[in-house]
Amino acid sequence: MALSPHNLLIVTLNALRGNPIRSALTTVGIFMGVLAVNGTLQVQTISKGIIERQLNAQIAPQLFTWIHPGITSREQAQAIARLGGVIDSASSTWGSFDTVQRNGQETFVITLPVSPNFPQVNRLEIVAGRFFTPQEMQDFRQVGVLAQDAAMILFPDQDPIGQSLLVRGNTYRIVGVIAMKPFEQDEQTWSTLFVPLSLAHARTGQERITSFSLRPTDWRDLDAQQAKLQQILATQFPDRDPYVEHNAEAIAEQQDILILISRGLLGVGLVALVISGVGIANITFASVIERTPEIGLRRAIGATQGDILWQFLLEAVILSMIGGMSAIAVVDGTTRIVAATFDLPYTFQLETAAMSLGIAIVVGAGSSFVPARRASRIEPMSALRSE
Amino acid sequence: MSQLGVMDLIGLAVHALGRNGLRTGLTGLGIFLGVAATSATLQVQHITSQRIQQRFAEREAPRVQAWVWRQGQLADLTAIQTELAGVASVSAAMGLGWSQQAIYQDRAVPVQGMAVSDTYFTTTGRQMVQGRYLNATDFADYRSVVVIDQTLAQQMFRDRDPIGTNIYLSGMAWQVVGVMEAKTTEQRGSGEQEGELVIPLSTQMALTGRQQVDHIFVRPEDLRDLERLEGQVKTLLQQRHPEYLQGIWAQFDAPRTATNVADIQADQETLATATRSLLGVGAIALAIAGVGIANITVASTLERTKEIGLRRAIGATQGDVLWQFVLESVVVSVVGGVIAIATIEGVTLGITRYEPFGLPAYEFNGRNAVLALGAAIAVGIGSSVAPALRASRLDPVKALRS
Repeated sequence: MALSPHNLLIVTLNALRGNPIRSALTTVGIFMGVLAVNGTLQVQTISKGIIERQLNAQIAPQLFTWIHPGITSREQAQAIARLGGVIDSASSTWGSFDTVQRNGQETFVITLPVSPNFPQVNRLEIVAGRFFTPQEMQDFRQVGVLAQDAAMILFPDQDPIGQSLLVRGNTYRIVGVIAMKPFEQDEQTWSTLFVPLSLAHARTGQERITSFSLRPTDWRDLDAQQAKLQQILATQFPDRDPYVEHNAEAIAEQQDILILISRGLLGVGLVALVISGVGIANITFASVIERTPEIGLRRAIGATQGDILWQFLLEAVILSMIGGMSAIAVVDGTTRIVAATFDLPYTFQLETAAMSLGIAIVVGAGSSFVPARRASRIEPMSALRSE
Repeated sequence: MSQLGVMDLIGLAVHALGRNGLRTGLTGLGIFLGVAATSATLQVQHITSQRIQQRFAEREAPRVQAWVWRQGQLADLTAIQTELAGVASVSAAMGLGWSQQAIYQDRAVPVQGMAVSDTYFTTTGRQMVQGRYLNATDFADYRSVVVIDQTLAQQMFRDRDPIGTNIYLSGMAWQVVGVMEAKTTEQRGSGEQEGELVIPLSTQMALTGRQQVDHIFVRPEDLRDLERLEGQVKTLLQQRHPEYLQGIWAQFDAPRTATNVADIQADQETLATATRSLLGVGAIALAIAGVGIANITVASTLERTKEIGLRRAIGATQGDVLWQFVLESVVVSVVGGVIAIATIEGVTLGITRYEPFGLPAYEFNGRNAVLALGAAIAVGIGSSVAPALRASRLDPVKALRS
C-alpha cells in the first residue's frame, strides 16, 4: 500500500463526510440490521432466564428411583454421595391398600410410609395442620397425614386434625391434611395416608426403602444425572432391580418451543442484516460510478489499486462499525430498562455484542468488496477521460 | 400531471430501470428479502392458528367447570343461569362411584362415566354420531339408558350396531340409545384409550338417593367471558353454600374451578407473542429495504440531474419528475414483492404437502398476500418520495448546466 494507514483513514473519513446524506442512510441501514440481530439475541438470553425461574417455581425438577426389594438408608446415602449434585431426597416404602370406614362413610386408602421431608421434595401442599416431624419419626409415633379427598369423605362434618383413624388394626392420629390427587390402581381410585417411614421399618424389623426422589442442584443435567444414578445403583445392587426416571419432559417441552421461536426471530434478524448488506453493495456501486473521475485522478498521482480497494472497503466498514455499535448500545439500554421494569434477569453479554458487531463488519466488508474491487480495476486513463 | 398517460410513465420507469440492471437487481433483492421474511411470518401464524382452532374443535365446547363434590344442587344451576350474564348453558353431573367398568357380553372395558343433567349436550357441544340424545322422557321416567362415545363403541362393539343393546354398569343393565363423538381433554390427547359414557342424572339420583351433584359446567356465550365467568361462578357458589368458607373447607379454597381449554389458550398467547415479535423484526427488515431504496434514489437523482433538467426544459412538470422516480421504486417493489410472495407460497405448499401437521390441505391465503404486497408498495413509495420530491424541485436551468 502506498498510503499509510493513518492517511488512508483520513481520506476515508473525508469521503464519508463529503456525502453526509449517503453516509447517514447507509449507517441507518446497518444500525437497524444490527438492532434486529442483537435484539433477538437479547430476547433469547432474557427468556432463558425467565424459563429457568418459572420452572424452578412450578415444576420441581426431580429424579425418581424405584428399587426392589429395597435398600437401607445408609446404602441410599452412599449412592447419593457418589452421585453428587443433590440438594434433598425423600424416601418411601411399600404401602398397604385398605378399605377404611368411619361413621358410615367408606373410602379406599393406601397407607404410605414416607420420610418427613416428603412434601417439600415432591412439592405437595399441606392444606391443614402439618406434616409429621423428624422427631415423631424417630419416636415411632403413630401419626398420619391424610389426603384432601379422603379427609372430605371420612370427616365431612368436623376437622380431622387430632382425630384418630383406624386402618387395618392400626390407629393413626391425624396431624395434617395434604393436597394430593387420588390415583388409579386396579380399577379403583385410592387416596393416600402418609405415615412415618420408621413405622414400616419397626413392623418388618428392617429398613426397606423401595423408592426415593431426589432434587438436583442443576436441573439442566437431569438426563446425565439419571444415567449416572442408574449406573451407580446397578453396580452397587446388581441383584436388585433399580429404575431411575426424571420429570424433565415438561421442562424440555417448554424449552423446545422457546428455542424454536428464538431461532425464527434470529433468522428474520439475519435476513434484515443481509438486506442492509444488499443496500451497501447497491450504494457502493453507485458511488464508484459517481467517483470515477476522482479515482482516475488519484491513480494518476500515484495511488495503487490496493489503495482504491481499501478506501472503498474502509468506508463501508467504518459505517458498519458506527451503525453496529450504536445499535448494540441502544439494545443494551432498552433491555436494561425493560428488565428493571419487569424484574427480569439481565446482564450485559459481551459475547453477544461482539458477535453482533462482528457480523455487522463482515456484512459491511463483504457487500462492499465487489464494487470496491471494480473501482480498483478502473483504467486511470479512461477514468480521467470519462468526465 | 401533463400529457403523459399512466402507461407511458410506467413504460418510462421500466426503461430507466433497465438501463442499470445491477442497480435494479440489488434494489429488487432488498425488497424481495424483506417481503419474503414478512410473508413467511404471516404464513407461519396462519398455519399455527389453524392448528389451534382444530384443537378447540377436538375439545368439548369451552366452559367453566366447578368441582362441588356432593354439595352442589340443581337449584345452583338455575341461580347461575339467572344471576350471571353471558351464560349460554349450564349442566350438572354426578360421578358414578369408584368402580367404573362397562361390561358387554364377555368384554369388560374401563370407562369414564358420569350421570348428567338434560342440558349436557348443549353445554358440552357434543354431536351425536348415531342414535339420539338423552331426551326429556329419559329423565322424567328415570330410564336406564346410556349414551356412549365413539371410542367406547369401537372398543366394545367393534363394527356391530350398539343402538338398542344393553351394557352393564355396576351390575345394572343400561340400554344404549346413542353414540356421541369422542373428545379430547386437557389431560388426554387424541388417540387415548378410555371411552366415555353418560346416563341420566335423575336415574342416578333415584338409584343412590343422593340429591346433590359433584360437578357444575357453565358454558359462556362468548369465549372472552370465560375468565370472568370462572370467578363469578366461584363467588356465586360460595354465597349459596356458606359452608365452603367455614372450617376445614375454607382451607381448600372450595369450590375448585377451572376451564377445559386453559392449555390451548396458553398456547394461543404464546403464538400471539411470537407472531408479534416476528412481525416486528420483519417490519425492521422492510424498513431497511426502504432505507436502501431511499439511499439509491438520492444517488440516482443526483446522477440524472442533467436528464431531469432536459425533461423539464421540454415540458415535463414537477409532478412528472416526482412521479417518474416514485414509479421506478414502486415497479421494483411490486415486482420484488410479487416474486417473494409467490416463492413463499410455493415453499409453504411444498412443506405442507410433505408434512401436513394434521391439517386440511393448504389453500392460498389471499389476505396475507395482499398484506405483504401492500407493505411492499408502501415501502417503495414511502422511501422514494423525499428524494423524488427534491429532484422535482430542481431548477431546470441549473440542472442543465450542472
